Amino acid sequence: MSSLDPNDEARDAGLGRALRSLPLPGTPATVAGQVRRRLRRRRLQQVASVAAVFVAASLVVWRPWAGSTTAPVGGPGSNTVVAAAELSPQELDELFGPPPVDGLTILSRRDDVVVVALNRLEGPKR
Amino acid sequence: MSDEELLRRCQGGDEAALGELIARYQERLFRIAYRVLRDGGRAEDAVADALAAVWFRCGSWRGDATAGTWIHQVGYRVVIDHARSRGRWWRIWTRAKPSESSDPSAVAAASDHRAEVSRKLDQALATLSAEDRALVHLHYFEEQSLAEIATIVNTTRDALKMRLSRARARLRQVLGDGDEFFGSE
Repeated sequence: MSSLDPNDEARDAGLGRALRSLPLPGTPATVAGQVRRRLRRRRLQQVASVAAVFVAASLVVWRPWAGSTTAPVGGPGSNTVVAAAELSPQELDELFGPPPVDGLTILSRRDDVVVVALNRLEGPKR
Repeated sequence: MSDEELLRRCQGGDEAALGELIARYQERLFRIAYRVLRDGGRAEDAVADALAAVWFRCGSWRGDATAGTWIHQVGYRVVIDHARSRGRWWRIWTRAKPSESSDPSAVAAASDHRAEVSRKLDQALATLSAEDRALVHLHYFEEQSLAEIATIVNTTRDALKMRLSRARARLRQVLGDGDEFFGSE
């Protein structure tokens, strides 16, 4: 370097010699193979990225979740969504038809039972 | 075939040209990687990354610098990146087993005295930053011109002189003024 005085230049040259005498290991023979492996890996990553973008774009265009195979079913006010194709008409009737109701005789039978029970309770008092 | 022609062929996707560039540059890049990283396994890993980067980035070479300087530039950046990422967990996790060449004792020394000098010099170099070790190597070992080194490390010639001067002073401080390091032959 031009800014060095002669003494420094000699020291610089000495340092250079010492550094050049430092032992260095030989280059491993596997470097070329490793480079090719990295190139292959990068290509696979690129193919995978393109495939992922293609699949995502296909799904957006196709929109299977917005198709006609599913439909909201149920009574008024119901927000239950069931796959309509999976239910038979009979099942739909049972699910959404009116609930079974007991006949009116159930009330008179219950009254009879209450009367009998009251009579039993009152019996011992007399 | 010149390096420039090979690099142009790489730009056209010719993998055989890359193979030729690997054959020409792997030793030089390994030397600088080993000097900076101080581990044969990591140096090998960095050189493979650097040469793969040459392939992926060759499209950015416009011929402003010679092919050799540009390849060194790419290699220097990759090696420094490896040095900086030493502590990152994935590097530690995925680090290749050190190769046989990473063991300094495996490097044959001509004599005990010379081995001692080498050991001291190696320890002194270890006190420098990765960037300064690369500069010292390129200047003293590879004997590249200041203009070339300035292009490789992307700095000005004056800044480079200053950094080299500081690195030299640091080495002198660690090594002392012994004749075995700074004296004439």
